[in-house]
Formats: sequence, structure tokens, C-alpha cells
Amino acid sequence: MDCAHIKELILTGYTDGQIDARLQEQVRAHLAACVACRQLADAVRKTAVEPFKKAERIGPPDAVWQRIKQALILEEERRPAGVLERLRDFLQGAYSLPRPVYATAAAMLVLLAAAAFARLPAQQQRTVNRYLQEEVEFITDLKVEPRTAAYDSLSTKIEKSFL
Amino acid sequence: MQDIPRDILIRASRGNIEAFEHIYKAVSGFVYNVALRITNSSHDAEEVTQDVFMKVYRSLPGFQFRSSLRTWIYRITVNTALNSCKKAIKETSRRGDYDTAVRTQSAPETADARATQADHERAVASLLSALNPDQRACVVLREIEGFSYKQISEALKININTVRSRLKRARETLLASRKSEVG
Repeated sequence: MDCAHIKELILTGYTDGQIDARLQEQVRAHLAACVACRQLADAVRKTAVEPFKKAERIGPPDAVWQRIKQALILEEERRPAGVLERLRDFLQGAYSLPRPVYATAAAMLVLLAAAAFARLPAQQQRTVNRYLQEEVEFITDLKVEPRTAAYDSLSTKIEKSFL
Repeated sequence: MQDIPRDILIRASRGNIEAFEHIYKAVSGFVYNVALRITNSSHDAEEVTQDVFMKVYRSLPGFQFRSSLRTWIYRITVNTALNSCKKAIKETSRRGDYDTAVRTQSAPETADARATQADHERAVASLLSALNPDQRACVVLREIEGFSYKQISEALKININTVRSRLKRARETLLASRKSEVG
């Protein structure tokens, strides 16, 4: 290795211990024989490395957390009535609905779609009819689970509106 | 930086401020210290710290737990501090209140120790001020925070060769400024 390559390593990986042991040893051997490179290594260590080792780790004043906390509280208060949370809760509620509710809802959607497409030209109607037929067969094939006490005590708004 | 339990992260992501305070206590030392070294201003470092934690709080609900929280916070911190630093350089010359911050927040036991520490801090501030913001961020993460090249590359989202190149340029600048001081 020539001095240019060694200089590069002194300014980076050798000084930082970020090169492999074999390369580290090669640089060390070069430094033992080359005064100029040895002087550079000393200068880098004294000027660009050691002063930072004496730097203190400084934490923020307590007032910073107080300001952050106040800002967070204000932000929570200003949030528009937790729209996302409501949506999340609604979706979680919807996922827990019993299967007959989904079946009924799907059937209603099919009926609405049928009504919307009723005025289409004959060719398009045939396509729509085929699709509707498939949907009806699918819904008919859905297994309806046996009624349980839980089904008899349906009380949420969504359940009441569907059943 | 201390490890933060997953349940704390989940509670904080749901808006629990006590849980978020736990995160603050674990990482605020790193955030403030890096911000102070990069901006060279206690006022700006406080603003950066506040800004970083507001960003973390707002982003926590979308945090996927696939990436490391540490790396994520390192990146937000360095980017926010660099933006603050670059903005300040554009606006005005530095205000130089760094020494006050150091003196008020670190309290060595004797007057001599305090004086020596103040000298060290002045030297560090002076060295860092000779570097451009990108080099400064690399040097702070490497020399003061003890990051490996890989950790620096992840925190700054740059490749390892760029880390190496910035550190090299930074050290050449520091050597040149020392030479000009001496001779």
C-alpha cells in the first residue's frame, strides 16, 4: 500500500476502527516505517478525534418536556372529536357482527344494484342478470349458523336496522 | 438510548401521554445533545427537541414496528437539526449562546473542573463550527455518539461511502484549520 492509500485510511476507517483486523495490521506496519504517515495519524487523533471524546452529554432542561406535554394536551383537545377513532371503533364493531347480518346486507346491496341496472339496454341487462344470478346463488349457499342466545339479544343500532 | 418496551410504544401510539413521557425520558438525551451539537445553539436545540417529539407523537400511530424505533428517531433528529441549522445559517450568523447552555446544564463539582470542562466545550464548539452541517452531523454521530459507519448511514439515509467521504473531508478541514491557527 502506498502513502496515499494509507492517508485515506488514517482519515477514516483506521482511526475509527472501522476496517478489518488484517487491514488495520497493514496500516500499523506502514506507520512503523513511515514518519510522514505516522505524523498524520497523530495529528488526526489529537485534532479531530480526542477533543470530541471530552465533550459532555447534555440533556434538555426540564422545561422542554413541560412545553411538549402542553402542546400534546392542546393537540388532543383540538382533535376533531376523534373521527379516526370512531371509524376504527365502527369497523371493529362491524367485524364482530354475526354472519346473517352480512348476508342480509349483501342481499340488500344486490337488490339495489338490480334496481339501478333495470333500465339498461337488453345486451347489458343480460350481463347484469348473469352477475346477479351468480350473486344470488352465492348468498343462497351461505351457511346460516344455528341461532344462539346471543343472536336473540341483538341490540346495537346496526343490528336493529338490519333485522 | 434505552430500549423501549413494545407495550409502551403501543400505549403512546394511542395517545397515552404518560407512556409517551417514558419514550421522551429514554431518548431526549440523545435528541437534545445531537441537536445542540449540530445547531450550536441551546435555543435552537430546545426547539428541535420539541419539534422532534411532536413529529414522533404524530407518527407513532403509523409506526409499523418493522423498522427500528431508534433508527427512525435518529433520522428525524438529525434531519430536523440539519434543517434548523441550515435555516439559521441562511438567516443570520450564529448567536453563540452554546457556552451558556453547557454551563447551566452540566455542573462539574469544582470551579477548576467547571473551567476545564468549559474549555473543552468551547474547543468542541469551535471545531464543529468549522464544518458544514452535513459533515458536522457525521462527526457528531461518530465522535460524540459513537455510531458505527453503518449506523450513521442508516440515520442519515446515505451510503457508507458517503459517510466515509464526509468524515474524511471533515477531518481534512479540522487539520487545515488547526494549521492556520498554529502557523
